[in-house]
Amino acid sequence: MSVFPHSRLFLGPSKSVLISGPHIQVLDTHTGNLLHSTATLDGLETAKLLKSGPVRCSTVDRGFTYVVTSGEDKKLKVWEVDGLKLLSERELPKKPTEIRVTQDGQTIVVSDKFGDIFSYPLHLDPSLERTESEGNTGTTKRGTLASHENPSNGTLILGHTSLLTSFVLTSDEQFVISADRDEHVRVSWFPQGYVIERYCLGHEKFVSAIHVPSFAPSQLVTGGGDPVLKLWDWMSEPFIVVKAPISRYGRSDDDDGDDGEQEKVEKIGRRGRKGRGKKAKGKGKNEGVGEEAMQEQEQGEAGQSMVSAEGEGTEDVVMGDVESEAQVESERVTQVQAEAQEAEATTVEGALGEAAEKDKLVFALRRIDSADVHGQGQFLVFSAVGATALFFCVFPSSPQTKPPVVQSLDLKKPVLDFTVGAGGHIWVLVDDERPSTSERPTGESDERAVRLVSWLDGKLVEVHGAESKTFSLLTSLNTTCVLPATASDLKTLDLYSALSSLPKNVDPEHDPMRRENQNQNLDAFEIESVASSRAGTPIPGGSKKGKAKSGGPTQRELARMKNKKAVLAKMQEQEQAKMKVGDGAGAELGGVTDEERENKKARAADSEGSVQAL
Amino acid sequence: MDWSSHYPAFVSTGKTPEFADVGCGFGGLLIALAPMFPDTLMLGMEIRVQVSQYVQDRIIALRTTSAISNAASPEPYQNVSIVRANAMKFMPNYFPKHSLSSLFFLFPDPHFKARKHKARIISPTLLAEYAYVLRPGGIVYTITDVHDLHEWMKSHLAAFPLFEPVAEEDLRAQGKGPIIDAVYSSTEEGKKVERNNGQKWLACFMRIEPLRILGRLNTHLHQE
Repeated sequence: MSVFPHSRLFLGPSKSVLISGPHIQVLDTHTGNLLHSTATLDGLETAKLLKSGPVRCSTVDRGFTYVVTSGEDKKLKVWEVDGLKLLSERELPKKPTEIRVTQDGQTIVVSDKFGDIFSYPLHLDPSLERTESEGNTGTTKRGTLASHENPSNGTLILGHTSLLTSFVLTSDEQFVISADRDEHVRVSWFPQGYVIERYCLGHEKFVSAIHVPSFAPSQLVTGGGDPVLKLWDWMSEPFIVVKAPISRYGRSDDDDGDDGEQEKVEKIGRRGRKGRGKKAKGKGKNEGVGEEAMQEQEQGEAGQSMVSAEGEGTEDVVMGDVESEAQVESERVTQVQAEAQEAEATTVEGALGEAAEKDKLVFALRRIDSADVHGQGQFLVFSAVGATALFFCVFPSSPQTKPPVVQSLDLKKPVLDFTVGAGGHIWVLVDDERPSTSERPTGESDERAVRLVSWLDGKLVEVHGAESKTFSLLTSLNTTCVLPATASDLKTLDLYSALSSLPKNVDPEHDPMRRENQNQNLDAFEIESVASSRAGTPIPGGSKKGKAKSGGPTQRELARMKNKKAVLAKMQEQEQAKMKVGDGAGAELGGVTDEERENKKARAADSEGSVQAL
Repeated sequence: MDWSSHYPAFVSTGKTPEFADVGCGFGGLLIALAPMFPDTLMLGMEIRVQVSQYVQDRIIALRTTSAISNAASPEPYQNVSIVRANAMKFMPNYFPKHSLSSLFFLFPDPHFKARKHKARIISPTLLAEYAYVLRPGGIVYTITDVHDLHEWMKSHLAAFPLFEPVAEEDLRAQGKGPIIDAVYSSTEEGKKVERNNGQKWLACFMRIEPLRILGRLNTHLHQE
């Protein structure tokens, strides 16, 4: 019998809310009793609920009075936790990616796939709605938001220009930190989201999870497609600490992180010459201290932690559409090489070509959370889409310490989500429908949708057997709350879509700039490099080395090359003129620009006949 | 962002661009402004590959062929460069906070259809990014020959809390006349409009400081 996997769990002091597929259930936190459930609604209401599809985003307010959900139909639904009464239903302009409620419980803030964040009053005032819906056009203030129309009169807080994956409100709710698919992490005022305080730039792939630990409210942890977690001090000029996850995420029978490390180091060493990854690309802005610290730490930790490239092959049904993680590979190898002090920066393309043969893996962080465990320290816990492990590491108390080693706890089933509860317990929701990786005999521990995990000596361990039975909530979650689902229901769930939807298809073959450069045959390239070294004017924007393209250059490119040759010829002519004039003038080799200036002085004196003094 | 390949003559100064031409096309404005402000770095952003390459070549040619011998002043056209980029997406990647003193939007794509309005270069969400890269007191120059777009840009900028309109006369009085003249007529687009006897509408706005909201904690801001 198929059942809906539990996708989200909110733990409250007295009540807990569970989201499974399209259904919401409310339980008593202590006894585990099922208090309310949308599965027990009568026909008409259930039909409406199911029509909305699986719940994609949800949240509860601080007092556990309201639960706000949104499904496939872009409808924002506000329910009362007590009795699961549907209070209101509003249409959102685009599919939401994250929903939050402010601490005062009055405002719902929603981010969407278009890139906007809107806020809505939690309590819908019907009279207000009617008046505002008139006069929506023209040059009124409403008119200037015509490009960001909102059918439910939401207030535009801010907008990114690509899919907004996640956002958080800081603890004082003075700022909103938002992340998007274009690697931006932006800190803006709240609710005046139009004032951008700063950006935390540095990610090289989409950012999908951000978190501000409650015990360190001035720090921000971000993660996404990069195999690193970045820690920022978002309140001042951000410096970052980069942490590379050790793991084998994905599936593996081997729980022991240390062995895995060794293995990976060898495998990477064997790959030989690789290119320097796009780390050098000038997109990030890491200020001063932070940058050096980051590079140092990367080198330092290269020996300890590697990212797994090896997918687990054909067993890995979960990964779905995977794309080349070539960037990851070259980054990783960069770390190894940095340590080994091998210099040569070869082309990105070269690296990609080699890496393409390897197994491809897409990494997407799902959620980052933190735990302050009494007596054991402060930790960061995170999960990745499709990964069977829950990852954790020590929260670095000061930026100077080396980035912590990331460890993992393999639960054998893909982790859908997790919730950090009281007393340091972590409730992990797994996808029971997927076949297990290992061939362990099916014991009771394999067939549970919710696992309980706890801290022991600074490590996560699963709570089994008798001890787990004392948590009646756990039992209830795994038994009475399990709802049947048809195969088609499960298909529409599409829990791992982020792996294919978030990464950008940056196929180097289709990079227009690169192809253009390839079209110039090597002859032209030599012209450029000679020009650069002689006249000291590198081409603005830089030119990339590229392998010669098989087809001939187009007309336009020929014309361009012709022009370049003409310019170069002129430069050479001028240089020769300078050579004749005075060796003394050219003898000073104090840098390229000085030389150039001297050349030009001489040139002016000689060829142009002007009266400029030397 | 490494500017040394763009402005090799200014490597030692540590300067970053102060003028940015968004959608610079064939570079007409920058080429006109470069000699007027030889100590100011200016950058063009153009999304089209061919066009940006053309401007690249043009700048190299200008740098080489118009050399002057006076060593005291910087070489001509060393202060202008172009980058092929999508300014709507990656503006903050190029410019530090409050680093620009002028932002130019010359004859932007009108995106006439209502459903394409959100692709217009001036939008309520993008204005926050422009306000981020522009310093307080910095000026946004917009010009277009499409009246509807002019009204759109004007109303959006006026409605945005961090911009306030500034009249052409006032700018001229401040000495920015040559810039405005260049905005009107130095670009290929501008010249085309003149040939077709079209009309041009200029709208300029100044970036202002945000109003402090009562009760707001300002401590965070002071840490900069």
